[in-house]
Amino acid sequence: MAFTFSGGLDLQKPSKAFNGSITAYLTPKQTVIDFSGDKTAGFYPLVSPGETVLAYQQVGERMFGEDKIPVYGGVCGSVTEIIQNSDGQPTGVRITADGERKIADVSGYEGPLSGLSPEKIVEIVKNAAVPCRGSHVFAYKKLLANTGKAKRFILNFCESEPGVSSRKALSAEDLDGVLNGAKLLMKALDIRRCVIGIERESRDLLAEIAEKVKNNTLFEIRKVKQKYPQDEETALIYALNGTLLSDADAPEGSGCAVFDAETAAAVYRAVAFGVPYCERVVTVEGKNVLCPIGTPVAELLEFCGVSREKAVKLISGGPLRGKSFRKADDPVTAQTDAITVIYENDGVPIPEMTVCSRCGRCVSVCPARIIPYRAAELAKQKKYSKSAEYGTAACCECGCCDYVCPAYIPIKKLIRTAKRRLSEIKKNENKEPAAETTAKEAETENVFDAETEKITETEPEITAEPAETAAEPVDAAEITGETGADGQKEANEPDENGEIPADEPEDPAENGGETEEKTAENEDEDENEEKQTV
Amino acid sequence: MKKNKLFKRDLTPVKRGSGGVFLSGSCSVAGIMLHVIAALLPVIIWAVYLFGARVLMVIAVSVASCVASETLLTLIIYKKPRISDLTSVVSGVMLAMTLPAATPLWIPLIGGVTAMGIKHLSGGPGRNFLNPALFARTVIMLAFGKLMIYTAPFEKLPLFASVSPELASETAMSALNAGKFPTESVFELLYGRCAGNIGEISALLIIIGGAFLMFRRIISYKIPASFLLTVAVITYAFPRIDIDSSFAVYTVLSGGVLFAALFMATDHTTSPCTTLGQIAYGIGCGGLTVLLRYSGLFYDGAYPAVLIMNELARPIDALAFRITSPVRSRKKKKTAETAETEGGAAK
Repeated sequence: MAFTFSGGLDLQKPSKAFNGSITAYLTPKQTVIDFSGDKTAGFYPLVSPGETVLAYQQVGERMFGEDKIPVYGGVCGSVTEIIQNSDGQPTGVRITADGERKIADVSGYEGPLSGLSPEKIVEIVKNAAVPCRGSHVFAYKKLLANTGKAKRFILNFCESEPGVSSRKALSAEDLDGVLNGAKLLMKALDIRRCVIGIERESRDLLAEIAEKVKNNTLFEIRKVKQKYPQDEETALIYALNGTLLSDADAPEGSGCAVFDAETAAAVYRAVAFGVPYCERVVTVEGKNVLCPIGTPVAELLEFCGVSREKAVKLISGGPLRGKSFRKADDPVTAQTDAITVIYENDGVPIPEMTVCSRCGRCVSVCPARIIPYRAAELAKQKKYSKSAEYGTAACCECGCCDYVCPAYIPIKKLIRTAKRRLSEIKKNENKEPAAETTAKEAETENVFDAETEKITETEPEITAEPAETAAEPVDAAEITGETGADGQKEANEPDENGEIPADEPEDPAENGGETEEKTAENEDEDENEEKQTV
Repeated sequence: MKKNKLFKRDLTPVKRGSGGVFLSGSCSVAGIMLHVIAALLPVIIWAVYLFGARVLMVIAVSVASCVASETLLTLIIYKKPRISDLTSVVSGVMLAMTLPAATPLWIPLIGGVTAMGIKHLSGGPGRNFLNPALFARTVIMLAFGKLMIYTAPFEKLPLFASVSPELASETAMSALNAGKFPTESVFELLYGRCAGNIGEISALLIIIGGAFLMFRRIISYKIPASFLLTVAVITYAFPRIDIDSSFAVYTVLSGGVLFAALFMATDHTTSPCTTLGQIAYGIGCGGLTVLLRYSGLFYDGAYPAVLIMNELARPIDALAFRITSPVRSRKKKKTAETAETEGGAAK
């Protein structure tokens, strides 16, 4: 029997053997560690141009919330540049390697690992800057958040996307490390039970794990179905624990602590050998390569023998959850588990977006069990708080909805925007209004303000519908003004008994959203052009 | 050139801007509509075999009327025609399916205009809360019900001229309604040798069409299953006329119950999309169908039943979502924190 969750996509046919071997590419010509994409955290370099650095040496610090996290360099060479953003703030370092591999003096915890205290483990994990892939936070933060709450430890061996095999490759290579790391993490959380979630289709690895944990009562193997996105926390917790996460509780609320195999392996390496997190396994076109974080994509592709002559898009991650690289010399980051290349002749331009016909396909595949089409529709109209009622916060951004949408609506993108804007608005309400609005966001600012007001009105009660409708005409008038679809209002009138009050101004708003969406799309296309010329 | 191994037949990569999903596994809305038409083809072919080329005439008039009036309406409302997604064609075919072959040809003409009118006045494509074809059919039945003539199979029907009322024959459903035992056997109803509307003659072909749509994941089994089960259970438990226990079987096979359950109630735009909502919707449709057949003015209860449930589809969905969704009351105020850790701390 296999455990699974509701929804999701059956994308990969089972029993696809993966190429388990990992090729090491530890001496790239240069590495770029750059946090310019992250506006929330500052970077403070500890090295200056011209300085020689060794692999595993700390090159800087970055702020993560209130904490300072060290940043390590993965290669040995000299610092050639401190990268700065347009405001003159340092955002990263560029290290030109000298082709050798000299490793800084690192040492693991001396003495038996069983003697480690939970606090010490958290400290080591924090100092080694071990991230969690799934949740985009550092492992220590997750440990702290789960301490005392989690009753069950879930070790995730499921692959993140079809075609990506870095997690399995690493697990197959370093299974002892993964299991020991899991033990350390469990010790830090004071949990005595570990559920191993692994796809039943990956038989080799399954057999290996079963052999390893045969007489160990600490571990329990649970096979899950191979389905996308089984590795997502929401889906995994539902499959293995039967708990459906609501948007009001973070994964901690379910009493499950989910850690990925590679996180566990990195924790073990950090504790036992003192190796900081600065290398990772990346799947490049079916091949798994171990490379330092910061390796330029172009170099990695070259090493793997993948030509990018006819490539139209390079994606960091798989095709469903990945982000496209802007330039070919963008670096591999801690989140890059794969590099996917879309070539000219296998990428078709996305057909023009049509009107949502409420076919409900997105609802049926959604692993978070929200109503994606409603949330996206409202997000398009910039009604972010209303959109949240349809579960934007529970959305795990797996992209299943986009995959199945017959109208080709970028649902994931819209929901993500709604999520971000809502958290920004909430932040502004709580703290000083210190939001850095970029040029793109500035044009929507006035709508934004109206939105903020609306939220304060509707905040206390979910049933405060009249306030909502009272605030609505502002929106509607604004948008109809833009598009000038006069016949529309009249056309929508009979809809009023459609019960869902936000229904009326939909179409004009949609038109407004559509044009904006299109410009955004064009911008992306421009980026694309840029990349091609690089 | 090396072909990317990942992308197979049903995984179409797309060149989408950053932030989107780079795979698409779906056919377009037009593709879905083509599927529906393909599913109806066997039904149509069988009807042509039984009633002759007039069937095609009815369908052609209905489709032409729908497409023409949609073009006109979109020209007026949006200043440019928006008919590329074949929805109006499907509405036309669906409307024709619910009419008998002997219908005067001006009736589908009026029906098409009515269908497109209600579609665009009740919200436009994707937002209409009433099934256009069903609404048009109900209007036609109310206005011209007496002109609808059901003829026996293999009756020679003229291509254009109106059919004389003398050719009228009784359908299995009207026999049941009159409290009589239908002249057709269950087997005849199943493979389809009986009088009736174009789309509801052969139960088997309708089931095959519906199964095809389910297999291609165009429709879900939940609505038809709960619809038909409800009808079967109620009619089995409370048969209106005592003809051994086959009353339930006759009710499901006669009239538009099967067609309404598989093709009408599953219309994407006018049906719920949550699992619980779909089941509730199907049960509602089934219950209303039996009620209307037993004591209603229209003895063909399935179509009006679905039309009534259409209005309830969205409230049902909203309620079902409230019951089953992970989204709890916003009073918890925790949402802000969650959003922060998830969105704000992205590395």
